[in-house]
Amino acid sequence: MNFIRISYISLLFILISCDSFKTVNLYESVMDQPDPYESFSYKDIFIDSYKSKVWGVKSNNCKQILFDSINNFKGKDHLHLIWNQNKECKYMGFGFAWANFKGKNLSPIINNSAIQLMIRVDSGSFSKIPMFFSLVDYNEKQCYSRMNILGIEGGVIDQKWRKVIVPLSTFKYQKKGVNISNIKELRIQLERKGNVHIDDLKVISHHHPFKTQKSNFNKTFENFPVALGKVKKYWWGVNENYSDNFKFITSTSFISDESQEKTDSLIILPEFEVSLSLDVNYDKNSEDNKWNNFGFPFNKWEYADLSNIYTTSAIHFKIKSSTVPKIQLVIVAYSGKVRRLTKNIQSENIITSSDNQYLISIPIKSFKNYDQMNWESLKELRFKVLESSKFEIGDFKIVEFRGNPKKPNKWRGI
Amino acid sequence: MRILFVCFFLFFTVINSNQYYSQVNSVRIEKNQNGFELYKNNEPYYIKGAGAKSNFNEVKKAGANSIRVWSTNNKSYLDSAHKYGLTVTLGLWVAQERNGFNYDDEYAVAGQIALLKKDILKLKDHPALLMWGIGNEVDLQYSNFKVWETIEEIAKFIKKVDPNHPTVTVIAGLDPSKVFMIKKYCPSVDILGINVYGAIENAPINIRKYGWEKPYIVTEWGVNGPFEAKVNSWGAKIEPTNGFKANQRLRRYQSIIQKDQDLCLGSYCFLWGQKQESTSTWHGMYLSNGHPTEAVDVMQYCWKGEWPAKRAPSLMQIKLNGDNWKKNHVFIKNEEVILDFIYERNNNDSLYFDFQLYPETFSTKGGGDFQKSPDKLKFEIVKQSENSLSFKVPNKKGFYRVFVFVRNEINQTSVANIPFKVEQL
Repeated sequence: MNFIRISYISLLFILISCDSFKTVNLYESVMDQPDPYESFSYKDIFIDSYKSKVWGVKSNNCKQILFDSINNFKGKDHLHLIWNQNKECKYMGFGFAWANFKGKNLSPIINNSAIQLMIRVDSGSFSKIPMFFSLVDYNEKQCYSRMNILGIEGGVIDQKWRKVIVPLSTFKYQKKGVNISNIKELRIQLERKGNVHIDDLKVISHHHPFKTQKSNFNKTFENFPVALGKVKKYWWGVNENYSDNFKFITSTSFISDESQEKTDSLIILPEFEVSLSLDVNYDKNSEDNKWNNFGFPFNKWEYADLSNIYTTSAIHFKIKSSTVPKIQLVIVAYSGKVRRLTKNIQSENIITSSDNQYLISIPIKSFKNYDQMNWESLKELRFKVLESSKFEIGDFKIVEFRGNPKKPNKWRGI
Repeated sequence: MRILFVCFFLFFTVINSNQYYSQVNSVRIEKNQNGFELYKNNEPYYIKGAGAKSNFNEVKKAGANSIRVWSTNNKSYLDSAHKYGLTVTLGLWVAQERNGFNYDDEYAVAGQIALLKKDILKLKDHPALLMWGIGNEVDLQYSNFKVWETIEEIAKFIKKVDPNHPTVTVIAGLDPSKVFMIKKYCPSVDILGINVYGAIENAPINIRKYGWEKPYIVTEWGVNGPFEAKVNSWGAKIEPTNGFKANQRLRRYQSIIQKDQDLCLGSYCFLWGQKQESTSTWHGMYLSNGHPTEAVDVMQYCWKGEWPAKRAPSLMQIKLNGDNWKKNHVFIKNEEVILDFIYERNNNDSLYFDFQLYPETFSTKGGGDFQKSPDKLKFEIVKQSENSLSFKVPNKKGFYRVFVFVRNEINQTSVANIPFKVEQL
């Protein structure tokens, strides 16, 4: 009996409880966020001289900033700018008080808004005007943007009022360290010479579909060996139309075991040709004796970053000849104060020889001023033949070397 | 009657417009057994040119047939060149990364291309147009190879809308990486333009070594540039005398440019005009007062094979207290020094001398970027003769440069300068 009573009470409790349940959605509905542009309170920058303050309008030999009241786009007058830069002009600009210099937070609208103005000229037609816009923060830091033809209505400025849009995201505020959340004013700065009418400056909602994405032409090398000069099309100095001094050999005996490894070069050079070498037949007394150098890039003529490995690296290559010829090596960088390192092959660089075949090893540290080179932006490796000689040269690579740079044969590292 | 008048007007309008268009040059490049050759209106055309924005009449009289300008911002250059029977390699100014342009900024890139396309459409039928020069030294101190995509897009557009004029892109000096990039990214570029000063010495062999397979034009050449010049102990660049420069120009034209007619379609000497580039007299073949220097005579000899009837005098050597212009010259405040100058009269009866003193500018700008000219300084001349000048150096520590100008009665001029330093006792 007690069991029935308890069951009854429990059932009743559950039913009552269920009745008090409220239905809920699987996902809570989110309160609609206000549109940042709609919430931005300071849309008007210039309407007319009665409603908007403009500073820097005093006329001088460089510029005249006039308030014309004929043919306005909006309001009772508009700005007529006439300027002509000369030696006396230190500053040719003027500014808008824009909401009476209140600090304006543009960060919520920076990517979906633009400054819009109306513009016309008295005569002629133009696709650009020598002026630029600057946003100024309360630390007097400024970032700039210009009119772009793509932002000019019809791509032309003529006698008709034309709309010009300058997207806020084109002001490079981060680069210039401008506090975009505390903008004091907008300035217009004038260059060279011009004569334009402008009116109705304001902030509008605008979608800017263009991006700025940093290009990457860099390749960082971190593993050994780094195979070099394996692809003909990147070489220079070999052109049989003009000189027979250098000829490619595509089935060389210089085949190294390492070339079968998965090196950095293998990853980046799908057209890898492991058997490429160069046949050199140079006569210093011949007519084309100036045709005495050749080279190839470290990274397809883009930037090669060897900064992580250069201190423990050596340049290796093989030479087939009766004697080792006099050759100068030049490492070239794209940038930096020191852009070239040169070194001639020395006797200590010849680390093995057999059957007229020599292995040459030149530690990077043995190049004079090697520590002043920008190893992040290497360009190419050049070779200059300094005396009459016949030889085959190939199997170029960068290998690990941690020994004494003056004794490259003491610790081979290969 | 009114209908007849309208018909008459329309007829002449059509005739006139056809006349204009029939004057459009049809320019093409042909490869024959001797190499490459430029043809203008089916006639072989070897470019004897000058980088010029002024003195078009003089350049024509000296024997040139073409000028090069760097941008489309002044159509009057084209009109004026046409008036004097000169053709124009018309530059399409492609913004340089070293002056702040960002080739990763899609909006800026697209805007620049749109602007240049408008210029191309506007000017493609101008009767003076010889070819399009797309960009000038965009490779100087650049790091973003994307600029070549812009060059190609413009060149490709020209191929589409203007089959009459070839495309050339102009680089600052020769380098295998630049040649590779242009071959890879810019197949629509027909000709390589090279601005080479000291580097002109090896330009013909290097262009072959670096694998350029199309023709080239020496788009700027002349004397070694300030960026290649030796500097003295305080970093002032040492400028050769006009006489030295004249000889250098002549040799370079005759033994380098003229000799390479297999690949080289001609040249534009720099600069048929005046500009400040380290000094006011370095590259300019004219002075700031408009007087021609002896370089103008040299170019006439290069182009016409004959010297002008009246030649400028030629300043060959300049010395301060007996030491030449290559040495360091250091004086104390207000010291009296002797400036010697050796010149050739070139059959001029009367010669006029002028001496000017300027502060040293130490400009580090390159690539022809704008440099401000310094103001002339006053100084005390003690004594002057035909070959020397005694003067007092300024009474203020600093770095200076003294100039000698010698001209004939028709203002053909030669100039030389020498830097010096004034120290305290």
